[in-house]
Amino acid sequence: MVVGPIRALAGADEERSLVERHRYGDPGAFEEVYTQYSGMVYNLALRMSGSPDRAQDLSQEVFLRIYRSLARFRGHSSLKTWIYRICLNHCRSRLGRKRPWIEPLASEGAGPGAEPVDAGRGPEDLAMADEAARRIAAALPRIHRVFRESVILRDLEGLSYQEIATVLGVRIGTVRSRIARGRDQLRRVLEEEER
Amino acid sequence: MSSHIPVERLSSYLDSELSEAEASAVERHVRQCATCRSDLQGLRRVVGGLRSMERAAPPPVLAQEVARRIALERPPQGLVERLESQLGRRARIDSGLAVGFALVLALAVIFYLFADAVDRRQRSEVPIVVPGASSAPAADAGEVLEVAGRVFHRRDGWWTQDGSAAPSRILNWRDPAAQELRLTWPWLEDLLADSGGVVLLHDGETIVIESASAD
Repeated sequence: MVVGPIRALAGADEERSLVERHRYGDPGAFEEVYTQYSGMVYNLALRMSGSPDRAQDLSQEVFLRIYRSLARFRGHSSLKTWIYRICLNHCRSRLGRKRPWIEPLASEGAGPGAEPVDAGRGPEDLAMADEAARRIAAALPRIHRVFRESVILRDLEGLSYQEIATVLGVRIGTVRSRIARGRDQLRRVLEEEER
Repeated sequence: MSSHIPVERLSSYLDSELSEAEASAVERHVRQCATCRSDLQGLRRVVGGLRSMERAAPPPVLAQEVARRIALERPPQGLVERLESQLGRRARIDSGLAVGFALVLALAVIFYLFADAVDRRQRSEVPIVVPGASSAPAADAGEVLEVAGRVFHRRDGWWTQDGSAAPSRILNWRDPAAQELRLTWPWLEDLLADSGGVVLLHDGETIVIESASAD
């Protein structure tokens, strides 16, 4: 499968056209979906599972589900929301109550699958940012899954409260509360480590 | 001094989700309250740390694996229907062409069914267990087990029953409800003995039972 340049799938019309093309057997349609959303799916799976290997397995399974279900997508939500839901539901069912120990990512700038770090920052800045990110990444799996999901969607994926409410199927007030409790739990985990 | 600001309000403040008046009230309070100031700084550090985490690029092998898996799938829904509807819309159809088209369609369906069956067999070596067996046989390094009419896949040290969904109950192996299930199904004991836990369907709900090793 050729992964071409990323372009935004703008608008409901384009999404409908994509789904229609997929329904009629155009392989390019699914390739576009993969190109656009593989980063999103992989990063969500990575932060939920805490493991690059598991994230790869989860992502593969998520895209298989997407491939099988795309023809039935009705456009009641955006494609992005729909894919977030599939990914989250799949991570929930596969990870269950497992408490994955995060594999030491060493630094967020190294290891397989990592993007190159910003060359404009000096080595000390990079080291501090790496360390902070590493500690947060290690703390994420230690907070309750329900809060972790909301924090990931807000602070890592950049979704608005409304978007998160739509993805999770809950009210905005619930989203607000879960984000706050998730952040607070992370804060306590980090403070514990510092003692 | 007034009472402390709830963490939810501090968190909303960081997301600029408060009105101007509410935000001003928070700022006034944290100037005077060391506890809330510390809480806000802690939350700000967490949010800053999260937002500084770099996004990982999916490994290139992921695209290859996805392509390989979907190549084994059936054609997307609608392709067969489209072919059928095209056949139906033609006003006058040469009978030879019609028969030929139907044969091609039948062969395509048979081919994909066959490919799917081959793929299923390759992916899941299911050792059939005598239904109602009192204990589960030792599973090999493979991933599938059938016991008492249920098919379980083993992944990441857990046995998950086919068809299970998001769990509605999560039980520790010590819970009375879990013990009751273990007594009802002796094979459950065996599955728990060599795994982190079991996800199974019971009375229409998905139940997770964590084993002792998950403690």
